[in-house]
Amino acid sequence: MLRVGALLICALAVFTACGGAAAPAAPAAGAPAAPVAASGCGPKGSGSLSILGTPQEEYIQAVAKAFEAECGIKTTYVRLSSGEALAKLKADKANPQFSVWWGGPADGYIAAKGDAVLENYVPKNAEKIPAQYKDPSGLWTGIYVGALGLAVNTKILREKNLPEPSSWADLAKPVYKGQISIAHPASSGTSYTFVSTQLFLANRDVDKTFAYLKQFHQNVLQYQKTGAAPARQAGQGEVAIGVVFSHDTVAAIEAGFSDLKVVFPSEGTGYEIGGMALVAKAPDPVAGKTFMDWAASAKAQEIGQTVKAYQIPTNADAKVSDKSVKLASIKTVSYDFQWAGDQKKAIVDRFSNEVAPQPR
Amino acid sequence: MVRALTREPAVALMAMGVTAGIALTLLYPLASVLGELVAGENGFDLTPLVRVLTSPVARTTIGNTLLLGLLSGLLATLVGLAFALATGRVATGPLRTALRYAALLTLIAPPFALALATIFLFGRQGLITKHLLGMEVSVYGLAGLLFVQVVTFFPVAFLIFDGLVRHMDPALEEAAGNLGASRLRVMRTVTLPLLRPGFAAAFLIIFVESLADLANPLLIGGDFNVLASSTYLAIVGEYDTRKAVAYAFVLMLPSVIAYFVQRIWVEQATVVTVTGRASAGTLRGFGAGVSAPLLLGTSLVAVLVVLLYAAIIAGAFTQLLGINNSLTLDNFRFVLFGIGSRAMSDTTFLAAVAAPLATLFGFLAGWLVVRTRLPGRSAFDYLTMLGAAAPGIVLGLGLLLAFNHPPLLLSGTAAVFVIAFSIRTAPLAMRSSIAALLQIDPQLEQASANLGAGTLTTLRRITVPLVRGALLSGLIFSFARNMTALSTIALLVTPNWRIMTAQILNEIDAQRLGSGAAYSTILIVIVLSTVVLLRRLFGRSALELAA
Repeated sequence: MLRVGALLICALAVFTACGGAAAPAAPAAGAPAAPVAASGCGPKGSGSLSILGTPQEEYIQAVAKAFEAECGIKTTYVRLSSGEALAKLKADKANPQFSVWWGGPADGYIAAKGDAVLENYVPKNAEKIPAQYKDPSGLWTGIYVGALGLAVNTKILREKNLPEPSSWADLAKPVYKGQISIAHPASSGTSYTFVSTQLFLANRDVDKTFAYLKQFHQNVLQYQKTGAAPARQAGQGEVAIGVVFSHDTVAAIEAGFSDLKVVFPSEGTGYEIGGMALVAKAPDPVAGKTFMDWAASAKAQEIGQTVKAYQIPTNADAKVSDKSVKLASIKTVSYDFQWAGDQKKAIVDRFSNEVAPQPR
Repeated sequence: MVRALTREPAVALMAMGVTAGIALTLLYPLASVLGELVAGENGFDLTPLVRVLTSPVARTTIGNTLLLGLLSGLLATLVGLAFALATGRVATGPLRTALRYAALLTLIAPPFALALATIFLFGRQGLITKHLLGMEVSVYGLAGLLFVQVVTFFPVAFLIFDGLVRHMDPALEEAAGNLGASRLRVMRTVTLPLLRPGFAAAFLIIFVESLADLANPLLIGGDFNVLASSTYLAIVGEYDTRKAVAYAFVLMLPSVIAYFVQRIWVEQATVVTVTGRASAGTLRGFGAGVSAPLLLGTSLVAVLVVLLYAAIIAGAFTQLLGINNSLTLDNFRFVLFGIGSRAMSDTTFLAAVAAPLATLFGFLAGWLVVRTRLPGRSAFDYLTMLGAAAPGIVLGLGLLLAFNHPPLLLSGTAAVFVIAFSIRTAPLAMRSSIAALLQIDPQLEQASANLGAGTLTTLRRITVPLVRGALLSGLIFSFARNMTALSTIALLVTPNWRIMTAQILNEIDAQRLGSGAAYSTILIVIVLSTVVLLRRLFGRSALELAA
């Protein structure tokens, strides 16, 4: 017992010693600053920046590192999924920990509108970003776009002797019974993008859309919890087709799911916008604004493709990786984010009550 | 003696410490969440709760949650009991050692790892189901979830029954045998009734664990929605904290009810088996009718566990298991030299600090409940259990809400993580302490008191050595749990402290199953080496558990 006690005291001592000296160094190394090009860095900043990031971690890490190197502002980050990030911002409201929220679907930023956790700021390089990728009031600015597509496992299609699907209409055909994976729209923004895409294709005719969804439902093996999971399920051959954002499929192919390919449905597809915004009462608003100016620049937006983040940059001057889809090359639906956001609750409730419980 | 205890200053001090601990680290955060439940924008408002209780979808979810918890609790308790009996009474030599290792292995399963391994081995394209047996089954849903949960949770039951089986007085069974009872009858009328407190404790803990489990329903639940995943997804997918809190509130009710039921059961069934009197004789075997199925069943489960772990390790050393099986070290390079190195040291440090704190707290709370007549002492028991009964995601939210403003501005510090880990594992340390204390005849402590020892001396010299096994298993369990906790800390991560499980979630989200498996493998190695280290520190005999 004495030894247990000694260990405890020891642990306590270590704890208090380390508790005081928390905050180990930031992951970003203090590399020598590169000359400031057209990056929108402005004068050398001092201060420090905490980013709340939602895209994949290497993407955030690379962006934080590059920003610190270019603008000389010490930068740390945390990655949280969109909903967790918003919950954290709301909970932290009285004592915000982060200066900017960077990345993650615009519907999260739209949902944050009522909570006063974000502050209007239009970054300097934003004029290079088309109006449909920005909030009209200046609350958030789009930094990348991701197009919805199908993750098709060609090996499974061959094994099962199934034709390759080429349209949304195909997905409702009985041959694909039990071979489609998609998340539930209540829990996943990806899946809700799919539902609203069908709504826009049907000219916002809700009944017509639900007639389609009920047929589609017959082919779904099970509804997954998170948006990108269907790419993995299709990659592992659990199903033949996953409905996901195309950059998730590309990431899965890069991770080794070599039987996958991306297919864009012929009727046209929907897309998400990745936003960024200044946090209200941010600990260092100047650093936050400097970061947003920089992040809207073409140069900053080209970082993604170097770390396998194949979302499409919104800045018209930014180069697009040949692994990304060029938005101009695929047919998109005319997507109204505000309308889709406003309808979400009613549509998702109807889906949960009318579609998901149907036997199949 | 009992009255003397309550009057002693040391006891009063302990009671105050435990009270303060519970109030600050558990009740205050939960009250913050409750505030979120009832406080709408225009004052008192219960709309989200009413909506959750009246919607048919939510009712199905509630039914699913209870069904899964009951089945998981029953099955895992039985499997754990079988392992305790097989290793304590039947198996010998290397087989016994192998079974014990297998039974403890899944205590250190990182979240997602077993579910991923299950999909790989038993999924539609599964190595065993499709390629070996030629079947096409889907593991998504209740069956897969139940399988993963039983494999994950049965070690909890094993640990509880193991202590009881070891402390069983051979004289009791011998007496029954001498009176002419058959071996099966001895088993039914003597052995199993002696283990009765274990049944209640094991079932309760696993039921609650099953309810709070987040990672497995997320990955392998499919259409089968449970309250924990609905709570998480209400925040993550719907941006609706109040709806999440309403789900969480509903989720806590069955846990609390289960707890009361088990209390009544245990109080009726208290059996004293460790007395001051020397007992003669050794425990006998059960006879082939019982032994053979026991050995066969437990060996099968053990093989299954080993296969699952082999799949995780294989996943860490291949490009992408099942799709591109070429060997590689890239996954480890990514984890060790990439983002993951900080996560490893941070997580290990926090877990190592929290584990002894939780164990000590749990033991003191348990001792106060069992050995004193403090008014309201059962509240310690009941309130501490809230830490295990509350879904992790809600505790995390509560800690975030409670500690991000003065007077306790702890947001972003190590203290928040230590609290988050401790309130989650203290309940098990307390339950196993209570179970162990109930087996010990108070006369032993009374004798010490009569000889003039103070309460603290008695605690230190008599009580603690007697329940040492329970304390050590609590310590190991706490550390392993801390290393593998996900839902509690998901909302607490900051740039200052990185947590491995959160990194695994990121990897799986980004489709990199290989580096997820590499992380998991490293996590398993860290926990296993800690167990070995503890064995060195406390001596082989004190930690028979691990072998």
